[in-house]
Amino acid sequence: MDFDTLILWLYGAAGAGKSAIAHTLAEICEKYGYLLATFFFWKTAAERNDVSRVVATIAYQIARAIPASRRLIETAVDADPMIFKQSVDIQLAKLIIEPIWRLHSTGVDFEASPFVIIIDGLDECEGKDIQSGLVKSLAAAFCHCPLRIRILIASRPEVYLQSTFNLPPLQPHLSRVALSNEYSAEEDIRRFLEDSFDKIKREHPLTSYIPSSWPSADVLRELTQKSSGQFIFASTTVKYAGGDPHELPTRRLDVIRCLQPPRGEEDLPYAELNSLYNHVLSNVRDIERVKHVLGILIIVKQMDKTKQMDDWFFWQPGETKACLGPLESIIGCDGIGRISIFHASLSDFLLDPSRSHEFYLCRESILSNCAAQGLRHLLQQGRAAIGVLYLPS
Amino acid sequence: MPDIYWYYHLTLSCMYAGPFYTPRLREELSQLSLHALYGVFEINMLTWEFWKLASTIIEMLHNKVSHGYLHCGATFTNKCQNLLEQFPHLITDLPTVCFAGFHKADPDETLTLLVYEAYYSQILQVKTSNSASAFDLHRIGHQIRGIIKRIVNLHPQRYRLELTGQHYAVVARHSINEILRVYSGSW
Repeated sequence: MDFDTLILWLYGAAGAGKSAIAHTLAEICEKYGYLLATFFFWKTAAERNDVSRVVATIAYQIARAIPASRRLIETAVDADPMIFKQSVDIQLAKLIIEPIWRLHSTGVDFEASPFVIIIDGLDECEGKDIQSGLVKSLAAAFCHCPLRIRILIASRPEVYLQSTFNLPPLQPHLSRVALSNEYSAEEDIRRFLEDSFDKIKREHPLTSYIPSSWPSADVLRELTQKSSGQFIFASTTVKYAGGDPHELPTRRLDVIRCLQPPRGEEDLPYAELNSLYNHVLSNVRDIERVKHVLGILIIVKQMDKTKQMDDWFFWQPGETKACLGPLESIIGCDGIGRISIFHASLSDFLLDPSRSHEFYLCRESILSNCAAQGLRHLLQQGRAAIGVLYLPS
Repeated sequence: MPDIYWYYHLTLSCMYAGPFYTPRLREELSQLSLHALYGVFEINMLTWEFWKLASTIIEMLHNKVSHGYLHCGATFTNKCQNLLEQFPHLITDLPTVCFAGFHKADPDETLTLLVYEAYYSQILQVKTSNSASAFDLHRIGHQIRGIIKRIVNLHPQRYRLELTGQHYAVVARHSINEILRVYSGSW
């Protein structure tokens, strides 16, 4: 990692563990006195998915971390009570940059000041343009700041964010860390599961009823494999298993493994995972197209390349890749157009109508449509080979 | 680009998997011409595959009728009638294609063998385990034997598929080839 740049972009697929890293780094920075401010975007929380809160939150934390700045920031707010309705650029300038420069001009030494700002889940902020705009504004505001700021931004590698982070003016101020598929997280996930289940066994109120051998090595292996290298499945499983002090974790683990039914409709084993998938899929413009492609990938399993899909659906070259673009955090395409689903749990989600609702993939309907498409191709092949030779009698 | 055989297998496996009767499939079937489909398979020398696919389509529709998915009457006559009403082109296409393939100058080999088998298998008591059998009964499934009966039943004039000298020549040629294939290793 290059800490000499202003911005460090940490990106990876949904559930890869970006937030876990951001939170841990925040704790470490806090411990050593480096942490200046944090902002954790959260898509479903109105106060945490809105960019208008970001600068105010950071300014407030700067006022607390650098007490000398407090009066200057308050003065800026008093001078313009509508400042929080202004653009991000103006808010950054008035609430943060100008106070810091004023302190600098009075001889304040920032050498021992905290300097790390952590922004997690940028892609969960409302508005793609707003997300891109925030990155550009932060870079522009802090690149010549007398306080040596370092900003960690964690997000999914959405296409529009990649474009933003690829902008030439940002390059001198940017370094990147990818939580890629090349790194095998299996061992880490297995250890995380072991530690988490040990903690449940130690701390759960019904601990005396939990066998010391729980969960078995086979179950651990099963959960590790199902995680597909992504932490979110493992963490959701553990949270659910140990999440109810009045119910045995052993039973709840069976529920989440579909070995026992949940207790009532309110008991949703994969609520967090469902929310993640629902969020990602609800951002897709043409969901029916995406469902066609996912149906072929998950149910028919005879094609896995974008070109094959384009041909199969009689689409223009590139249409499959384009329609999968918004799903970049859960589905990837490699250099030869091979499509891969990052999470094994996505199939379970899509094939369970009680979890996926409008995104549900009905196996029989998919096969039916596939048969229909196959018939169309057979006739098309004939026409291509022999011209219009046979016409219906 | 995948070949016709790949599309055939994919289509067939999806049909076998018991698909729902979706609007998309209904639309495709309503536009399908078995005559055109036969032409596609024939030019690729895959007429066996055509009969398999055509019989699967008709079987699927028949099953849908039987299970009430197509909202048909309860009696067999009513069911056939409804099938005819919903897919008249398929039902009239099938015997037409069948008779055309059977009566052309070089008769459709698969069809000839099926008709031959349907007429004579009981008399000859041909069994699949008999390596000297006239032809491989593994290839002639129950489903396709049934289709022959249905084709004849569906024909408006109840024409029968009568074997002629040309057909016996096709059966003989096929049988000799099969015998040569079976014994080629030991000779």
